[in-house]
Amino acid sequence: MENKIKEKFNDGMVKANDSYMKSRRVTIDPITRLEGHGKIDILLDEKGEVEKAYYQIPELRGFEIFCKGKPAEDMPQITSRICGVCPTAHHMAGTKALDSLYKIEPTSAAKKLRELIYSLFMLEDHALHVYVLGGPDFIVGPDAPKASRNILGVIEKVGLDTGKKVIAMRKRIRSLIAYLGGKVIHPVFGLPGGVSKGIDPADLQLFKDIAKEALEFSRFTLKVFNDIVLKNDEYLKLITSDTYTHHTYYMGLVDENNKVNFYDGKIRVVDPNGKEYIKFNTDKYLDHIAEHVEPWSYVKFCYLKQLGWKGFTDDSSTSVYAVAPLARLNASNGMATAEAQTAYDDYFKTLGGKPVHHTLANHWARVIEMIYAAERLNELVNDPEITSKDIRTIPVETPSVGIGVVEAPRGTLIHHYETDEKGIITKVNLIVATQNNSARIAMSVDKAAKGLIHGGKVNDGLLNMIEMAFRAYDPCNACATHSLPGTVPIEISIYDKSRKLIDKISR
Amino acid sequence: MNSIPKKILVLGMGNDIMGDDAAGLVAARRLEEKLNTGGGVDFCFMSSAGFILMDVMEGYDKVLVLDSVLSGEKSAGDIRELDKSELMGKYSGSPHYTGLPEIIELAKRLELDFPDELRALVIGINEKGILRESLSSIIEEKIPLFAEKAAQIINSWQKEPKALKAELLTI
Repeated sequence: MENKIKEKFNDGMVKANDSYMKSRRVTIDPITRLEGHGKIDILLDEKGEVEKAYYQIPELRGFEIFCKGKPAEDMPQITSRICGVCPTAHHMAGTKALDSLYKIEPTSAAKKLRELIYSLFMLEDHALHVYVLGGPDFIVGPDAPKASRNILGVIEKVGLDTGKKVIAMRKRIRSLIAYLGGKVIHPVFGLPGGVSKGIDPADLQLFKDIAKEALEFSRFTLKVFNDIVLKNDEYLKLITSDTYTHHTYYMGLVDENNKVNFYDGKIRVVDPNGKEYIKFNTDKYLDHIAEHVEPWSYVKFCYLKQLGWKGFTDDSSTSVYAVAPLARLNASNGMATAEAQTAYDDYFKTLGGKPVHHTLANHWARVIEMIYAAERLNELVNDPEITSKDIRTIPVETPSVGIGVVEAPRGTLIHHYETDEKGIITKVNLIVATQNNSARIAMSVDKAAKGLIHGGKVNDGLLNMIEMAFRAYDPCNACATHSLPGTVPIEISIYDKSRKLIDKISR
Repeated sequence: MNSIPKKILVLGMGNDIMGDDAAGLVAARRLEEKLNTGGGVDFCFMSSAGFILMDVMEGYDKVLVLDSVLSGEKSAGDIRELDKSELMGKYSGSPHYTGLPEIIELAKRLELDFPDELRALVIGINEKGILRESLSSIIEEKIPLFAEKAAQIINSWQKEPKALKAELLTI
């Protein structure tokens, strides 16, 4: 099997590289991609203006082949190993795919427990992005020195006490995930038809206490964002600037009232004017999502299938869509909880109504989703059914096809499994959030580069502002899950009009 | 006070569906099986870096990380200890990641109860992006040596004052 994977891989590499070399005369090292590097190639014209900027993201290849022959029940564990950053999302999508595969309805208590652990995960992951990954862009400042654009710079800005609060909250949330899932990184929680563990009534108070703290923490985070970002006119101008704006479709899971839902519901898509384009059951995703291949990238670019591929277009004729927090808010009619709804209303009022097309507004949307996750968490821990012992329905049907969809922190995540009658995997298809977003991310990097680089002048601050264009999506680059001592580099290469490399920066 | 043992953690890192990337995990598991510590050493097996490492390492006096690094064909199977500059490295500046250097610095600034000594043993591997649930033969045969070197570090720590003495079995 290993040789087959290698052959297929090498064949693809050769073809893609040849094609790219012919069309662009710029070399991409295919190995670099598989190590988890992000890569941006910026091509300048004779005046030093940007002709085109290409953003490359790595893709874990051969995963579908690897899964063939494995028992379907192993998939939530196997797929959670794809990514060390959001394993809970893969675990949950995989678990829901097993429900679908075995045509089984989880018990009511099991669904609530799943949503509880998922709310904890979304809250923790979003907090991490706000304070650590994307936050430095605004909290420290987009043009701040490179050395301070990290969590340490954030701590300098918000103070040690806030830093301690963030770290402590994360730890408390993770302790609850570990209580239910056993392992925080690769949880063993979801089973077809239910979950492996419930909440002991004796431990419920701890859940209630942490849920309460989590809501306070989310409110605090909204205040921090409000004070540092929204009260700064320059930042608001940056968020709403054309450089970071695209008119595309938006996709997200919604409940029966068209409110944002992370765990379940139908997939709703709105057009660039904010009108509902389509709403469909998750098992119909193949009727509505298709993938386009470009010679310069191994990543497949998702688009709305019934519209056909219209290119990387940025107007009402486009078929490109976005996922992630901004898209979820655009694709819904609101939030299902009170405080999140208030924040949602403020968001659209401030940013000029629905839909919001500003990529950097993802950061604010993320904070609103933290409020929702915390409120929903409080609802769930106070639900009388949450300590029920009726946490699993045993599957009896013969498996065939299973499709599970959740909203991962970075957007819609689709798992699709097919098996033989014994439940052995014969086919796997995964569409991860960053893949759903890949066309819009490519457009964002290109537009930011064109808007920011002029006369061939490139510096670290400008390059950071180009990176901000994709950082807002919280793209997942590190499929290989870890890299000691801890760098997942991004390389930015700048080529002159004759495609000679004139500068290369590694981060 | 001299009777209080040092809290020691062995942190095996890697992804167990990615071939030789799992070498650190496998070595840590072997060490756990073979090292009779009298309860003085904890083991943790991780497939992720980032902030989770802070949670894992907090409260320990000493941490030994076992991991793999991409080294190229010639150095595949070579086992070495990362020096301070490699361990501290540079801040990742990644959009999606917080590396060990930031975590160490952050823990210091937040005055967390963080290890006063952190060492990392790594084994060179030459596989990139391979999906497989086993090690290559080159790496597999180096696992006993990898675990042995790790045991030597653990033993040296346990011989320090306030430490429990571990009995190293034949590995």
